[in-house]
Amino acid sequence: MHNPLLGFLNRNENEAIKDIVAKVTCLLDKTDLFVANNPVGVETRVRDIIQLLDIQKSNDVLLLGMWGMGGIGKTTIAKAIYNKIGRNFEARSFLANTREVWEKNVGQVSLQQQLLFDICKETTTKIQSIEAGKIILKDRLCGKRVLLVLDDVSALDQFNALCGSRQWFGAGS
Amino acid sequence: MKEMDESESIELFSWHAFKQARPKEDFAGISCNVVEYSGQLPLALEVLGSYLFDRGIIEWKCVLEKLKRIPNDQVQKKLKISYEGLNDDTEKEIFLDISCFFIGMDRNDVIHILNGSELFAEIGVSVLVERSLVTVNDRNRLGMHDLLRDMGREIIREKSPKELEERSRLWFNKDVVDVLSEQTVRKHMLIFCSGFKLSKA
Repeated sequence: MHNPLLGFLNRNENEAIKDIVAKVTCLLDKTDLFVANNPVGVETRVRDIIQLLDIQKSNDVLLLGMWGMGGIGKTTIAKAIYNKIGRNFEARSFLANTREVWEKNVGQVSLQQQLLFDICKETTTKIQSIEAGKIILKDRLCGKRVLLVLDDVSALDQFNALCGSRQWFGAGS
Repeated sequence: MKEMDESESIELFSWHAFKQARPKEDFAGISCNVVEYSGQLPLALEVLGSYLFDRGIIEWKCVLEKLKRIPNDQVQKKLKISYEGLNDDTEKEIFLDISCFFIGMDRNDVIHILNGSELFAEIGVSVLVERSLVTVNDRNRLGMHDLLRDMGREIIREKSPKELEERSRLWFNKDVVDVLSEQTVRKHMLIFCSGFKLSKA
């Protein structure tokens, strides 16, 4: 009788386990974002920006800002990019409505907490303050190649707390 | 980022106004005009297109006239045409409530809360979704574009720019504390405290 697992067992067990984990993780990854009911003109813009990112060649940490008037489709394009290239990264995080959450009572730390969870799947570390959060994030993110999207950033403070410098992130982020 | 080009704008607008990729024949000319005065901004195209769906040519002309009077950089005013065109007050109330309190919450929970104020929320929320004023994502959470949310809050603010306690809704914790500490809460004011803790001052 043909056993589909035999193919795996013939190889190094270690490798086989890695393969299985990778496949299952991919199957379970339902973290794509809803983009739009009628995504007119989204595809071409996504392609243009992915070209700008040039993710195939560079191992530097790349930062890209999208700027334009409200309602022009920045968030829509960012979500589509996140869906399209997100799986090429070790981990990804999309922080929505940064400005709105930031202004709430515990919003600032909660954004850092969400980032930590999205990237490291960590729930045990509790961030006590913004400054402590910066140190924790810098420490945990730097080994990983991540895709981070900050939506609706309105002040430098927000950027500093969530994405302090290129040194926070692993090569190719 | 740049605006959409003309053909993309017309396509997006048509998906909302006609549920197809091109305008209906009788509406081709006026569609181009509406698109032009929407500033070719995707959000405005969606909201205005959804508003005009299934309406007659007279209503279209009326909307076009309103649009022509609004300068291109005042997007919020253009979006407001759709809010003002909502049929009854309960729909407007629901829109304002969502803009202040319910973004990101579960649709069914919100309907349950709103029905507590006899707002017939089941149909009201559906109308707002049809009009592209509110979105529901695949996890049944309500969403609203920043500009529409700010428009809703501005509608409340401008009715009483200075007197906080006169406003129908308060959405900043600080404002709530200010008003409560002066003990001047009016009967009709709705204060919704989601995850809100009074700090020990």
